[in-house]
Parts: sequence; structure tokens; C-alpha cells
Amino acid sequence: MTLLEDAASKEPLELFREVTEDSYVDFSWQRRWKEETGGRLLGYFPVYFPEPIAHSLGFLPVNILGASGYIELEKATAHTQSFVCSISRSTFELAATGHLDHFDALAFTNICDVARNLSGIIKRNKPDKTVVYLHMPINNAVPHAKDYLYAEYGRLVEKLEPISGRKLDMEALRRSIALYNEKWELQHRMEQLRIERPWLLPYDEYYYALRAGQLLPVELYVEKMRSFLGEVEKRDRKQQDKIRVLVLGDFCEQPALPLMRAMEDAAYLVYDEAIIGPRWIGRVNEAEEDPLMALVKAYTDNLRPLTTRYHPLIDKQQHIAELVKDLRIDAVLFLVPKFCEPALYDFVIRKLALDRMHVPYVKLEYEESETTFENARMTLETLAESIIFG
Amino acid sequence: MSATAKGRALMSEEAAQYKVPKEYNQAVALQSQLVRKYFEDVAAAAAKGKKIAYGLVEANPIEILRLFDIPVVYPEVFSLQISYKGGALPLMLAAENEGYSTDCCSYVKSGVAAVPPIGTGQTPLGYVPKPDIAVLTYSGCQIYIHWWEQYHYWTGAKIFTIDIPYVRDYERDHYVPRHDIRYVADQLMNVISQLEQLTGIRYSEEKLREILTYTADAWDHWRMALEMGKRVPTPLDGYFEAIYYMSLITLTRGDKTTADYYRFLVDELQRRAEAGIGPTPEEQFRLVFEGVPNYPYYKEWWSLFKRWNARGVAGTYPKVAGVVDYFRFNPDKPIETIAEYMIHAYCNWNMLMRADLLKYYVDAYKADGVVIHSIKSCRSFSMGQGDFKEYFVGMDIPTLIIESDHVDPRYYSEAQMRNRIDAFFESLALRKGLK
Repeated sequence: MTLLEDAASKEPLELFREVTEDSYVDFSWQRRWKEETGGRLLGYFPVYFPEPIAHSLGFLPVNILGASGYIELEKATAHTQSFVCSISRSTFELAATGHLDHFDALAFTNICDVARNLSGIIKRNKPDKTVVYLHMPINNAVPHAKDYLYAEYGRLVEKLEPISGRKLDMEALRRSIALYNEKWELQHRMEQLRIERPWLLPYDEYYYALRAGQLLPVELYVEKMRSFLGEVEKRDRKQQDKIRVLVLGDFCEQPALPLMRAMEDAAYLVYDEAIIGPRWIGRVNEAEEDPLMALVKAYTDNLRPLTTRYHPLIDKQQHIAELVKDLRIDAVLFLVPKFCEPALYDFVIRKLALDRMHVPYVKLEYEESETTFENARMTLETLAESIIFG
Repeated sequence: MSATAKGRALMSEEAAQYKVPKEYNQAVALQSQLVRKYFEDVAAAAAKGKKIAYGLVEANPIEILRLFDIPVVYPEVFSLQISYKGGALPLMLAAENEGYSTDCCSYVKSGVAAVPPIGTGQTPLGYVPKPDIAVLTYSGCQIYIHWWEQYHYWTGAKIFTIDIPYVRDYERDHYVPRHDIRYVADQLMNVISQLEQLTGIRYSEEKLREILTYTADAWDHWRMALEMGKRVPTPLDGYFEAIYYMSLITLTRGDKTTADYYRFLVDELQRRAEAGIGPTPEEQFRLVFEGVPNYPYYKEWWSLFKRWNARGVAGTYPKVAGVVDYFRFNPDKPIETIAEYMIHAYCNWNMLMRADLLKYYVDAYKADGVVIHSIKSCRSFSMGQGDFKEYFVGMDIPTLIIESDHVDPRYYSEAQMRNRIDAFFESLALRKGLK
């Protein structure tokens, strides 16, 4: 049985969980995919990467999300500082110990200084590996940003074409965009389901379904996701008396799933930023004459805040006020990865707005490898009780 | 006291306390005087109701702000100066009280906490006004963006953004795509038109060229001064002293006074070289420094090296405002040259180029080893410094990594620092056959 036949025979959730757990360290699923299809693998670091470009050139774009505590940090301890985030350190360890060797290219963007320097030290230690660093624009309010990003995507294409042996074909790119739009629609549908009826879909199932979208071929994922959501929407489960919590800060490093389960015992986590990039980008305009420019505009004209992307026209305080109102939020949980400066600064900006609105919030720090969650559970429980019992 | 086989002291408190004779150390005093005047001028301008801009050290387009007669405050500079004068801790605590984590950059914390609404603007340096506009030059430091956002949300300051792409092509050394230069240049023109509206002053390319001529002159002499570190013995400490000397190239570049200052500096260093005078009584060790210094204990920290008669021959930190070894200003192409200057800030260079620059310093400046000061606050500098160490050790270049912070005094432990540094020099002495 081939890999894809095997995948087709599996229940969606079983497949989603399997590929997620495989992606902590091994990526054996992707290795087999490469062997069986002759395709190319591109690994990319969070938060956002224009997947349709890689897809149209014959790559399987795969999100590298750290080792979630499943690898011992040995080389990373020597090569990186102790006061940087765990996802960067474990990603370095994965690269240095050969776990990313079967990826034909690795891509990084300017989400933070740590990720940026990580790209460089991986290149220095793996000189034969193609490492692409994309500088995504931050001055998105000026017209030149589009020309710049268009040229930058052109630079990405120049790096990838020789690896796959394919030239960029605009019609192929348009088809890839359409496929990724389908993926976005389904993830958006799941997002809405969590907002409206979070009791139907436990956090870990939601997480597996999200993460698998960054690991599987998009064609297979779309098919499985459609079937999965159909099943979830038919579920008959009772709503519990829980507060509705907005989770902010988990946009890059992955919190341990037991931590999120512990949180969910105390509250409905109706919206969070897990694997936010592909959800944040929204629907890319398939009707745009130039599909590469469509991807550019989806990025530069996007007025939804993203901690790792500055946009001069965005008011983050107004946005959190709207989120709290629109999602009927009772409290905000700032779930901040240890040493993640972007999240730490956005915390201050957003908390100032919440203070003015008298919306309760708590801040918890986490690391991908942590194993004790009682303190976190108790903190959120205490907050929930104070809201429910006034 | 550590002694050589010949009985000569390798390490001494006398060397630690050594001061360059006054007649050979006037540039530091002049620099202090000019920096003080700069702060006074800014405070006076604010008192007269002039609009104040906040600027960043890396990639600051001071020539353009000078053209529009806008006084610029550099929070990095006032933060480090406050820390140098021992005033950082209350600002750290005030910022943390507002929700800033101990893991946030201490430049940001002291910069935000010093001015209203968290602080009063009254600092050990005198009055520091809050910003009316904040010129965001995103080059080499992502935290710049978050920092400027803090000012925006706390004070309402309008942010003028200039996005500067990273030098990022790992296959082509020093390669800067044309679209990067065009993007930065276009944004500069965009900022210029905003400044025209703000000030009512018309942009003059001729005037900008004139300002840039002073800049180019100061820049060339700044490079000449730093390159004196190649001499054996070196007449200057290319790290500890260069950090004093670098203030004006950031703060007041683009006028005659600053250009004259750097001529004066080169002249003084030349006189030092001729008289055989340097920053320590003699030159026993030659070191290359990577990283931001420790400002709260600057002199104490420096003395840990001076006591071994060690001189910094070159350092990367004095290049944060531009890799002077590599880049030259061209006043004939004013906008393009400023764009290129902004791209070539040290931390905007990728890690391969940074490692190569350090290796070049070791070779060209005939250094005995590399000292990496890794500060907790600045991941732009620090992330991957461990990798540098592995790289240099692999090439048999003695390398020491030490950790503290540039502003927050809570991360400095003199005993630990001294032990690490002493052990490093002991091994260097053995290697050089001094023991």
C-alpha cells in the first residue's frame, strides 16, 4: 500500500494525529511522500509562508514547529543562548542532528530576531542546504511595499526553481492558490465552529486538524478535512457552564497539548493564535490577473493584526476591543512563550486596552517542552470562578 | 597577582587603574562636552515647543531630519547614558510594574519608563522630552518595531516607518538586491514628503548633499580612527574607547563640528602612536570584541581586561550605526547613499557575514582571541553567538563568552565575570608563551 493509499484509508482524525506526532521529530511521513512521489520538500518556520508558490513548483510545504520537547537539546545548548525561545533551540537541534536533512529547502521570514539569526546559523552548520530568508515588508501602507514583495517572491522562485526543475507557471500558481483557498475555507469553518459551539470540538482535535494542514499535501488534507468537519458538525454534545476565553500569544511556539487540555477544563478557548499564519492570510483573490501579485496583496493589504507583522494602519487596541465584543469574550488568556519578545510587547499594548474596558485577563508563560500544568490550570480556574461566581 | 616565568607581572591593579595622560585623551573629554551640548539643545528645542523626533541608532537618517531642522532624541543613547550613570534600576522596576517582563529588552524598558506617562522625563541626564514623531528605521532589530509601537500607544506619537530589508542572501556574499535599495529609497522620499508637510520646509537635494559631505568626511575619519587598531601596539582601544568615540557619529553626524571632531580624534590617536602611548601601560593581549557592552558597570568591567594589559583592537558594536569598514557615503547620490547606509548596519548583516567580519578582524588586526559579550536583552546580537564561538574554536581562535546585560544592573556579577575573564587570560598567556 502506498503512503497516499494508506492515508486515504484512515479516519481523518487518526491521520491528523499521526502526522502531527510524527512531525515533532521524525517527519517520516514527508520522507516517504518524497520517496514515493519524487516531489520536493520545503520546510518553513512560522508564522506565515506563501505556500502556493512552493506547491506550484512541485514542493510539499511543511511547517517546522519545533520538537515539542521530544528531542534532547545538546548541540543547541552550545550554539544558541539560554535566553532564547525553545522553538528556535529545538529547531536548531532538529537541523543539526540531521532530522531535517531530507528537506530540500528551509525557509524563514522576519518574524523576530531569533528566527532571523536561526536561519543564518542553520546555514552555517548545513552549508549545502538551501536556506531562504524572506524579508517580508513592514511598511505595508506605502505603494512600494507591493513592488518590493513581488520582487522578493520572485527571489524565492529563483531559489526554488533549480531544486524542483520546474519553472513558475502562472496558471499552475493560480490552481495552487485555489487549492489553498479551499484549505483556508475549511479551517475558517472550523474556527467559526469553535467560536459558536466550542463544546463540539475539543481543543486537541482542533489542534491536530489545524496542524495536519501544515504537514499533508493540500489535496489530501482538503478531502480529509471536509469529511472531518462534516462529522464534527453532526455531533450531539451538551454545552457546559464555562466562561469564553480568548487566547493570545501562541502564534509561533507550540504550547504542549496537555497544557491546552488543562486550560480547556476550566474554560472554552473559543479563539486562539495556534498556527495562525495560514488562517490569518485569508482568501487570496483567485481572479487577480497576476496570481503572484494576488499573494502579494493578500499580505500587504491585510489589516488583521499579527504580532509578528507590523502594519502602520492597524490599531491593535481597537482590534482587541472588537474581538472581545464580537466573540463575546469573558476573559483573555495571554499565553506567552518564554523569552518571546514580540508576544511580551503586544501583551502590554493589549492589556492597556483591556484595563480600560475592565475585561479580566491573566498572563501565563510556557515552553514547548514543559510537563507540569497544574499551576496554569489553577490560575485559569480561579479566574473562571471569579467571573462565574462574581 | 599572576606572574610570568621571568617574574614580570602579567596582571596588575596598577594596569587596571591606568589612565591615558590627559594631553593624549582630549577626544573623550571633547566628546562628553559635545554630547552634553546635544542633550541641552534638544531640551531647549522642546521647551520652545519644537516637534521632537525619536530616532534609532541603527540606520538613522539623521541627515534628512537635519534638513528639516527636527531635533532627534535617541532612546538607546539616553538609556545607556542613564545606565552608565547608575540610574537604570528604578526605570526597570517602573516598567516591570506596568507589565513589561524581565525578558524584555532593557533599552525598551528604560526608554519607555523614563518619559511620560510612566516617567516624568527628568533623568540623571537632565530633561528628556517625549516624542511627537517616532522615526522607525527597522534595520537589524525587530524589537525596534515593538518599541516604537509602545511609544505610539503610550504617548500617541506618530510613527514614520522606513523598512530596511536584511542582507539575507546566503549564497551571494554581501549581495543586496536592487529591489531592496529601491524600496528603501522610495520610503525615504515618502518620509521626506511627510516631513515637508509637518514642518513646511521644502526638500532641497543640494542642501542634503552639503550635509552628506560633512557626514562623509566624519565617516572617513571615523574609519581611519578605528583602523588604527591594526597597529601593533594599538594606540586606541577599538572597543572600550571606540564606544565613547562613536556617540557623535550617531547623534550629530552631518555638520562641521562633528566632522572636525573626527579629524581631531585621528590626530590625537596619531600623536598617541608616535609617543608610544595606548589605553593600557603596555600591550600584552590583543582582542576582538563582539557584542554590546555592559554599561551599568562599564569602567569596572573594562578594568577586568585592562588589568591584564589587554587592548581591544576591533569590535563589532561600534559598527551598529554602520559597518564603517565596508560602506562609504557618496554625497552625489544622496538618497541612494542613505538607503545603502541604512542597509549596512552591523546587525542587519546576516550571521555568515557577521562571522566573516569577526574573522577578518582577528586576521587583519592580529588579535590573540575573541571576547563575546552576550547580553540578555538583545537577541538580535546574542542569538547565535554560541555558534560564533563554535566556529572560532573550530579554527583554533581562542574565544570567551561572557553574559550580562547592557542596561539592567541585576545581571552583572563581578566575581563570576572576573573568574571567567581571568581563566581566559591564563590560557591565552600559556598559548603565547608568556607563562
